Amino acid sequence: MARSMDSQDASPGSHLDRRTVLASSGVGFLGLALLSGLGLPGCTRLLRLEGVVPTSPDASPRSLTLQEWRTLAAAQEHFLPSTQDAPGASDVNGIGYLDAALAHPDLDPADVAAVKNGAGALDRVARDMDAPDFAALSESRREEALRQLEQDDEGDTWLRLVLTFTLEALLGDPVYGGNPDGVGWRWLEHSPGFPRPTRPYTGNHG
Amino acid sequence: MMSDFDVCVIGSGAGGGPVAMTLAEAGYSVVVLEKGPWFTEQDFTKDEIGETRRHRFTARLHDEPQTVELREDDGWAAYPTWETGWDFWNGAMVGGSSNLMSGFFHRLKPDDFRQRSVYGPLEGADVSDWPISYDDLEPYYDKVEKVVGISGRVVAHPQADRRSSPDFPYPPTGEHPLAGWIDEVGHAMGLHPFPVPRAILPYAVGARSGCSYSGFCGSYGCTTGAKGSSRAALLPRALATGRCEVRPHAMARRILSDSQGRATHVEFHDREGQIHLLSARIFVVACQAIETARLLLMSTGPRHPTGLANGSGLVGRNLLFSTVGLGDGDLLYKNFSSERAAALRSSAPFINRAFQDWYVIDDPEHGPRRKGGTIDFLFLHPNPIALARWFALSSADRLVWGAPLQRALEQAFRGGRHLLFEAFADWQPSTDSRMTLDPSIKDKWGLPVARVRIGKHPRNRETGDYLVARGREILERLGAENIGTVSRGSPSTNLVAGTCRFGTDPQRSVLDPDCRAHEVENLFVTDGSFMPTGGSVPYTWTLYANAFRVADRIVAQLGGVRR
Repeated sequence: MARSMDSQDASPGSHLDRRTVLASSGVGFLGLALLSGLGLPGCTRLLRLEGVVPTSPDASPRSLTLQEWRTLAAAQEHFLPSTQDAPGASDVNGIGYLDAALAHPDLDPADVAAVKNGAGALDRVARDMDAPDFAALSESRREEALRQLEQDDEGDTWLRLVLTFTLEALLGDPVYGGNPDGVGWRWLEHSPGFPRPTRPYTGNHG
Repeated sequence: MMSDFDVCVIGSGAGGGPVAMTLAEAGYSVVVLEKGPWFTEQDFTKDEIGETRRHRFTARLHDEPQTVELREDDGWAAYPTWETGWDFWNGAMVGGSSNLMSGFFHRLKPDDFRQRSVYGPLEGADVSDWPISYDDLEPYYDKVEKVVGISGRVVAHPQADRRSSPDFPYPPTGEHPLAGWIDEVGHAMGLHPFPVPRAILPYAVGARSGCSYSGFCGSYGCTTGAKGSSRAALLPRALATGRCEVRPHAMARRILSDSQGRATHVEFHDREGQIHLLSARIFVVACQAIETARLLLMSTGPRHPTGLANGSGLVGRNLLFSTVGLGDGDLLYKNFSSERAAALRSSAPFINRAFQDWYVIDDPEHGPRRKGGTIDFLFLHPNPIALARWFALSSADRLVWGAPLQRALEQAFRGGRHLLFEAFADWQPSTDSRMTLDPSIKDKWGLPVARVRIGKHPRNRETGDYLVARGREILERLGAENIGTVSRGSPSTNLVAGTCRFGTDPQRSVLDPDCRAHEVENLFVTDGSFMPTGGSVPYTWTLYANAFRVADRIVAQLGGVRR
């Protein structure tokens, strides 16, 4: 299952590192095969990863604090839950993808700041609900907290940004660290355009 | 004193390529200055994130903003484009935005050259006739078919173009079965669907390969060379003469002029920001209409205090777009027989069907006879992230996530095909539709940015509304569900023209009928800036044709073809 990845982009919490975590947690080869959707007719059966989702990366994130990582990963999992029928954010390395993407030189710095600050705002909403942070909330209370954020412009902007990055992780080319082996494409029966990139665009303008 | 080059072309896209090719082949020395990088086929992939969701091909808005002026209750309000979420950058690279076009090519029709004479003046708009006719441009439309490479099939219909060649030089690319369904339904409705010409080679020609049918044409560079970009089709011929130099990462900042008002030098910077000068006998500007006008306005001189060739005050005025109208619907597999559903599932990307039954709207219920437009049918672009975002972010109600989003995506991707139509209508020229130099905002090189005032005429939206209603009827007859239409009279950011319109009267135009500046005998503009009216089709074929026409005038001005 080796997949080429530009060494520049083998960031902490990347797909490669998460597979290492999964392997060491005993999920084993079959689990990894299911994760990447290999060799399964119909290919929509995915191992449910409840409890295996890491709450922190193996090494320091590039763009996020550990708390931001935790909060954003929980929000992403809420946006795209892992189920029997569909890959979730944790199956497509949503948080690792987001952390790497926020370092892209083409991003508007205001958007990067908004994503980070919004994670803090979401944790404050959770504390107002008597939880230590957003990730500690139950699913229904997470929904409440996120819908509350949606009520104002800043919160709405944050939600749109994080949803966008999560969908990029789901459906972007695997060279960017998400959508491992095209699991997102396969779920939706989408054929990617060709040729596919062999390396990510990292901000060098030609 | 000898000039560095005979001709300096600023901008290497659809406006610049024909000039570089024609002049170099005629024996003249040409330099092409291109602001962006020089990509080749090897650099292009169908990378949705890299090619459409970051700034590989377009400017970063904090480095190179533009400002947009929108009309609000108490006047005009200006917003930098980094705040608006939209902008007018369409591709800075060798070949320009012609690398990223979908290549739906239509000609203008004879009455489009004389809209004022045919339809009369329009209150609140500044409509003028072109100083040339369809007959003047027809030989060049024909030339573009052969040289850029347009594939298609001539079909008789009431609005069919008068052509000097009986058919296209290249047969159409293969079509999806929906093309046939649209023909059936259209004919049953008494309409006249016709195949849309495409700037796409169906097979290899010279060094260019034929189409690989990946289906991701729009917004992507073409990996095979089949797409008729200026870079793939024209610049190689210019370079092959040995008389043309293309310089990427060379951004023009000013054109200098002397005490007689003649253009003498272009000042440009390279990727390190070092400033250079070069001289030429003839200067040709083709940076797309907003940036062309911006360059001229920045190029003040001893005889041009308000900008090069701007004695009329009209540089930047008469900005044109195309009116955007869209419709879409779902053709769900469950609604069709298994045979038809199987046909729908075909991965053939091209539908290529259009209607011009309402090119003229002669409908007593809708007022006097007036100019209408074109409806093109195509598949919704297959970019998956864009489609998924639409489901998550576009509801009027609230954002969609979680299981509802996942079910919506499954239905959207796996449940059927998405058929789209684009309606093109004239953007009415008006004094309120213009660009100027921003008085305070500068780009990262300290140059004033373009300030774009979006002056919409009510007729834009009325025509758009009429056309999308017609398109909706066709979607209904095809059995589409979840039909939506959009008609806001909003500007198209990728179709931009006007700003240096041509004409015979120097008080009412910037350029003469040869697209030579009235006031600067050695300055030409060959992008879409020359158009007094935009027409109701995408501009590119007309732009390519006119650039070839003007290139012939430049050859004549320099003394003819020389060996």
